[in-house]
Amino acid sequence: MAQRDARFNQHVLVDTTPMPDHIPKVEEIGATSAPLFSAAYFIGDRCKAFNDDYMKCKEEANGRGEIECLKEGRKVTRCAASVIKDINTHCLKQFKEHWECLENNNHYLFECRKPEQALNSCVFDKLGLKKTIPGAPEGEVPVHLRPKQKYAQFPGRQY
Amino acid sequence: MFNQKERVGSLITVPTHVTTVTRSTSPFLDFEPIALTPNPPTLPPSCLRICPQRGGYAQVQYKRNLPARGFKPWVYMVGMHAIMAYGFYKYFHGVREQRELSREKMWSRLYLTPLLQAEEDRDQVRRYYADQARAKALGIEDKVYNSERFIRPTFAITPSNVTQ
Repeated sequence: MAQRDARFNQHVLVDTTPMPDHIPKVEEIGATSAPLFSAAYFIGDRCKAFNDDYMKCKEEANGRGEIECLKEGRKVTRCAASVIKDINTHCLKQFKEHWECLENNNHYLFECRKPEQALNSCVFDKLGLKKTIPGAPEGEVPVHLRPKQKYAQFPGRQY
Repeated sequence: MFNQKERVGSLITVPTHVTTVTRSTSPFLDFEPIALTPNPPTLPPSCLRICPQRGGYAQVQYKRNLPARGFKPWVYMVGMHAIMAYGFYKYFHGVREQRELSREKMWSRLYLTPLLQAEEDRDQVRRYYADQARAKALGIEDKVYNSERFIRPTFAITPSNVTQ
């Protein structure tokens, strides 16, 4: 009886049982942190309604949101996946440059303003998605549009 | 210094006192200290106790005859304030930029949160249903918690060998 040792082995702990059939399948987003971070504002621009819907569902589910909000969650994932797919189709070069820059610069957005500018203009032209920072003070240039970045390694004009 | 000295033919004792000033010639001092020598023994009759030296004392030199170096003091004051004002100016602008950068980062995370949460929830639900199926196969029908809420399992039942 006492010979059952605890096993702290991640390999065995992975439960590979698939989702039951009565729940519709959805492909996971499958992107790593840097591409997601790079595309976050476009995801937010296109999928705001789905995101808010999902978060509201979770809040109102009173602790049962994990099961009850699966449908909304699928919508969120599909919408985000559609944004990533569209960016990959139309602006792959700029997108890749930006998230690789983020990857190499500790995810500091202020180090990557030049590729970000290229990505933003491309996405706006092709997809119509715009990066806006909510709550930024009025009458000031938003920080992602400032040519000089005080905290970048080169604090002068970035592009 | 007040070594009393009795004078011949008088009942009054007169202290010998600070009188003559002589100059020392030390090469290490930029002012000249005063050396004190006792009063000469003869005194005017009206002046029996404490009297000035005959002919008065020499001027005591208390000033240092050195040139004042540097600028006027108010120049240093104004300069210090100018440097501090410039530093604060740069600091406030830096803080404002930092605030905007953190706002940008925060909102990017806020836009991603539902996506990440949905993925995590789906994974938890999948594990939950798998656990339910295993429990059912073992013939356990009990509810673990007396609650309707979804609770992430504290303990996981691990298969004895690697599945898949």
